[in-house]
Amino acid sequence: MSEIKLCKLAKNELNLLSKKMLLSLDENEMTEIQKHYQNLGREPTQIELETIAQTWSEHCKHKTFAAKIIYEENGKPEEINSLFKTFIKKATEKTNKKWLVSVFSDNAGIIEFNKEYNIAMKAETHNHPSALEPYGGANTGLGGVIRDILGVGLGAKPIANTDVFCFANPEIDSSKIPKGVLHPKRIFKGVRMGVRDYGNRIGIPTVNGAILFDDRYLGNPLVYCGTIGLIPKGMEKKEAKPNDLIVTIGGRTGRDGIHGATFSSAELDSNVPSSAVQIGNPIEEKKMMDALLKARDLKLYNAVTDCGAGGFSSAIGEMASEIGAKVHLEKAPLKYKGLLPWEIWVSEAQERMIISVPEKNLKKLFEICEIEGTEATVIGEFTDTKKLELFYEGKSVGELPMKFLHEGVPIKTLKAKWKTKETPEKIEETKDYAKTLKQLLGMPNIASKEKTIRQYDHEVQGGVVGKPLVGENQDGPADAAIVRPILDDWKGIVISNGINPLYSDLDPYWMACSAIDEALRNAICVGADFEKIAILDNFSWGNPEKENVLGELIRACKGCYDASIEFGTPYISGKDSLYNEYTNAGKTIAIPGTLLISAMGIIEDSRKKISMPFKKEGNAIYILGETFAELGGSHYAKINNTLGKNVPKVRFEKAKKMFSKLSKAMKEQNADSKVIVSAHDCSEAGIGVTIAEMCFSGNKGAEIFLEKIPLGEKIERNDVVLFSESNSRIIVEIDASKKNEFEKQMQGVAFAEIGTVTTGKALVVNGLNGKIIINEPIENLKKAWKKTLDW
Amino acid sequence: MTPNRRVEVTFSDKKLDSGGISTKNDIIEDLHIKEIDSVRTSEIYYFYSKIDEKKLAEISEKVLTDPLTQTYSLKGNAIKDFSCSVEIKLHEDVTDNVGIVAQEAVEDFLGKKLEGKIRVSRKYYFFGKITKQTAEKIAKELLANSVIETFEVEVK
Repeated sequence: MSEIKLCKLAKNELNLLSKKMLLSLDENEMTEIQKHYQNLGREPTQIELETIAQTWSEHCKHKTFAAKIIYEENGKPEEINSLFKTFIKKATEKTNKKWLVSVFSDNAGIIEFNKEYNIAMKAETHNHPSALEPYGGANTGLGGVIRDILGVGLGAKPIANTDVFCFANPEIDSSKIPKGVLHPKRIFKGVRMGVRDYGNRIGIPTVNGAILFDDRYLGNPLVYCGTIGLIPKGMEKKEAKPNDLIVTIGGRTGRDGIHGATFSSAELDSNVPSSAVQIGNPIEEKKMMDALLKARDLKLYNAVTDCGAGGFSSAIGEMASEIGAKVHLEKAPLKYKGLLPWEIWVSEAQERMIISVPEKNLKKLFEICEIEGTEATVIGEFTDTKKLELFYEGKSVGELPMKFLHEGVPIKTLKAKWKTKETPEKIEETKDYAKTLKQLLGMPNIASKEKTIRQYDHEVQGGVVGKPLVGENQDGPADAAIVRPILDDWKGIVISNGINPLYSDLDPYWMACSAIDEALRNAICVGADFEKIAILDNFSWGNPEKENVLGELIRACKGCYDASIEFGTPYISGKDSLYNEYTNAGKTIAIPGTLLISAMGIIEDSRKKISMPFKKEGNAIYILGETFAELGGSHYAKINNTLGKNVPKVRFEKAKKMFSKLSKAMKEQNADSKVIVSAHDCSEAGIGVTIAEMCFSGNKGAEIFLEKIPLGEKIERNDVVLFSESNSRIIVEIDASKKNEFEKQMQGVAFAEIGTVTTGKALVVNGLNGKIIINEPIENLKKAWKKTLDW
Repeated sequence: MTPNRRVEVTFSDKKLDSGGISTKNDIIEDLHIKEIDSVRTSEIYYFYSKIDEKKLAEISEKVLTDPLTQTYSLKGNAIKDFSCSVEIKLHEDVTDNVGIVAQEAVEDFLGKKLEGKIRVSRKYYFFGKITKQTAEKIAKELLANSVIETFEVEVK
């Protein structure tokens, strides 16, 4: 048993040891471990130290979100005890929704669906691995989040996947790429293939996503993967019991992915260990999944957890945290010989899960695994000793008290600062509106993602009724997806997302509020019930040990809190990926603070779904919500090479009223004779881009009048009205004969009829002074939109 | 350790090699190398077990090859007349899922376990005026990731 001598080390030597062993533990944490072993009067073994490092890693313990923070906002001091408890968990508690089944306590969040089933959702990041090996990183990112869903409660059946990526400009000159970094186009293509090959081969539809670009993602691309699962009622709780056998099911253990958990807590540089990469195998996971769900239905096990970051160490450590466990590491099936005990213990080899099985059920479990062609092996037993005991070939190699392992990590104290930014508004009005509109449509953030979406299977399992691409030629960008998981029930699940890291450069508070508003808008546009939408928060941020970076994170958390309470929309799960910074030749680049909000809602009758393309000539075009002069962080500002000043805010009261009324009207209308015929969320690049997309997706023309648009403040410039990214706005197409009915339903909300769907195949925009500022064939608009990412 | 046997599987001459076509497009569009005329791809199975040639031919035909679209070679390159080629192998300690599955299939076919493993590599044959340096650039910037893979360039 190899010992690590640390009891007598000085503080700086402890730091060096942590660095040398890739433990990613700081001085305080190392000192706490030293104290523990000094009290025991012995040195730790390597496997013990590895176990502690993994359990205490940022990835597993979310130390920043649990930390005490001394914060100063515009000179005003504040103390925050746990960002998670103060802003995320508390928001969910305050919204107090009865349809929440399980939040924050398990691998994924669960809400009610129908009489027989609940639904679960989880989103994860796999940023660091995807930077090193895009294909494998994205592959296993998806594989991992699918296992999270398999491991929620007693196991949910995965029914849909989502993916959201952030990359640097894919056309960047390769001479500008620092050593050790892959070209963003290569990362994009690799990640896309990774998601495709895992999702398609395992047979789960990929239904929703987004792709965003900013050059600060050069060294740190972001890869978010999400999965939605269906779980029978009564299966949401699990508990491993003493004397249950610890069974590993699925793939074998190899040296792949060692130190993934601790590695993800470090900033990237050009020295990369090859073992940090995991290799995925969707077919292996599919076999394991089928066996597991069969075993679940026969109630053969009492608990299940996936082996994610930290492998056995994390899975068994978590399941046994209240009881205890004995593990015989030599029993674990290996891919090849020669693994050391600690390597077996922390390996992040994929497609493995741990189940807690009463001995009497073992035979049946083995029978099922034999039929499904997957491997199940007993590697130990749960105990009541409150200790984690590790053995290799009969000899003890490590022993840790559960209390120290799970509660011993010292709470960090961090400092943070935020000062409101003053930026100038320097945007000159465009002289050629049609050209600018085409330029905006061609920006990679806005451009068609068809080439990516079409690589994913979004039909498998047969339940996807709201497709990612819609319209006459099935190429219009849908706002959200709808999945009907029970094929004899019209009830559907709506899946959408909201993300806009550009706003973080002005104020992450409004960035967070905007992301939530956008996710809700998107869900409502296809027909989700506004009263029953749950959201997930996934933060990707820079190094939180830097005061200004943490200050920005706090602003975002405050936005998350306020928006959740104001909209009555609870969080059910979330995750954070920090330290997304890349150092090259002494220069550090941090990503813009990025928050992905994933939303999961319900549509009572999916036949009432709405899509975004214009449907019929002569129908009326309405806008809901007010437009403000908010070009700060907008795409229009970006093509002017400036940041702008006024970041889009959310006027919660008005927004909530509009969302409720629109959602109610959609719910109450007749599926065969709709009042609201189409709806599209107004976001990136504002009204101009939204209406253009509705035109060319439906192969219809439109004429609109800017003077009719309800304004929240005085605006005199056409470009501000047309390209402002004000939140809480939706463009709808209303049946020409049912305008009165619609207007009656929307009483009390800011709305206006702003134009009509026309027979000509052009988009005509009349400016504030009544003069035509755009008259452009929709074919040209579509071409501009499709060209940028046509590979 | 050197493998005992090598089987290379490739698409038959007139069949569509879609991997080759998309690699060619990537070489032109992403690396701006215009000299490439076409690319063909293959998979090479390395057997670390002793198998006689007749048996190996049978395995190649019945397990590793789709007889409608593919052919195989037990001796040397399956494709001739190329200008350069790049073979990409996983590092020895990296999990090779294709190899594992191939092994399972071969063992099923033989009705017995193999004494050694099977490892799989990918090979790209370039046609056109491609020099060794260009082939290396393509390998480094497009095809192989040095974190998990190594590559070998062959000049005809």
